[in-house]
Amino acid sequence: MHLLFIFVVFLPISGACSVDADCSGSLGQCMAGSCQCNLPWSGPSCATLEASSLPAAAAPDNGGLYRDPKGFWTWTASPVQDDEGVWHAYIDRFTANCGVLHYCSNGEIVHAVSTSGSPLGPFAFRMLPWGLQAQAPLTVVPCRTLMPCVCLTAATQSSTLALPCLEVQWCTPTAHRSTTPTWAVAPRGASLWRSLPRHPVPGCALQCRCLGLALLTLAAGTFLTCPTPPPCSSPMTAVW
Amino acid sequence: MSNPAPLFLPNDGGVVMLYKGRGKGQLVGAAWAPALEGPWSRGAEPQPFGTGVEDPWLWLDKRTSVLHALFHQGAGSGASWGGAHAFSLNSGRSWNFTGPAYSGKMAWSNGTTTVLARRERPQGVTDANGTLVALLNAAQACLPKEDWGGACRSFSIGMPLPGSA
Repeated sequence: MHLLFIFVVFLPISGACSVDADCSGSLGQCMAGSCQCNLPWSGPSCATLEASSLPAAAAPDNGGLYRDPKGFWTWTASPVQDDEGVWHAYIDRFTANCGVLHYCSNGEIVHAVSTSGSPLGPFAFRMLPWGLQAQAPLTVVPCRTLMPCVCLTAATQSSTLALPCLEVQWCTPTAHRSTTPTWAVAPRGASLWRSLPRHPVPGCALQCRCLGLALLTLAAGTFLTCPTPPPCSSPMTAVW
Repeated sequence: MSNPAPLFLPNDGGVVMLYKGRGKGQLVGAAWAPALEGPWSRGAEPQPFGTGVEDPWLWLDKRTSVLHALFHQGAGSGASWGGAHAFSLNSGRSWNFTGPAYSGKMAWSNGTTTVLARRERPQGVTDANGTLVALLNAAQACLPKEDWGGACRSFSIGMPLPGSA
């Protein structure tokens, strides 16, 4: 009598892959049918930044990333490194001791510098570079041939996209120069950014260095004294 | 539209941008342009990120040319997931949403641990190869009754990631 051997191959239910792209694009390599993840990624498909495996970050009561000299609440921190290796951060904070939900009315951008040489700070206040109500900065480093530019997107009360652009040039280690924002309003259904006009700063261009490009979201409204609630509840129309 | 997150593609490949749109609901869309000044075009349909994400941030894995994105996901409360991840194999034209990537639990350098009430606005730092080496977030440890004053003050956090120098 012959014994019938049945071989059953068990593949892992999770983490199965056939090509590297199955490991969240490029966050691991597919080996023997499962993802071998690159640090700092983990999980079956390498899509997890496991909190328990992360090294400790500076606690906020130890200064954290940035301690505002006025004690204001802070929020987004967007880092960018200049040509000399110094890390700069554009951080939004909320005036008048307001909280984060006052981002529409009390947000402003702080420029801070890390003297430690680390992108994780601690960052020290340098200046208010633009004097504008704005929030949610995002720095983008383009190719070095582009001038730095600050683009502001606005939450409008109508069915339009209002997208001003403010070009900022980095003239000295301690000073920004900026121009008045010019608004480019795109009708509903038009392309996202119809135009982003540029306005060179007189007398500044030759000395300017390309630091990067910062994108901010700007919300209409006036500065409030807390605890007045912000006038930010008007809904916008979907853009797709 | 808000939360614009553009990324310059190499070799004059133009700019890809994720952004948040709000109306009756909230979604994240993708747009492309040959230059930052435009003209911009966008996909006909919303990308597959779902309704629970915002605050996109993009980076490029320069070894593989794969685009990656992190988002703030969900209400950000408690130990629930605070961030999500997506990737694109075709320069941002279409995206694959991989879902939750990290939670609100933070272990600090002073030995304490906090489960953040809010952990939003992810922005990272990459090395020369496009490997993520640090992650920054906006954070709030608790939710105050009133959105002002000294209680539950929000702050900015940053952490090095495993494998970073």
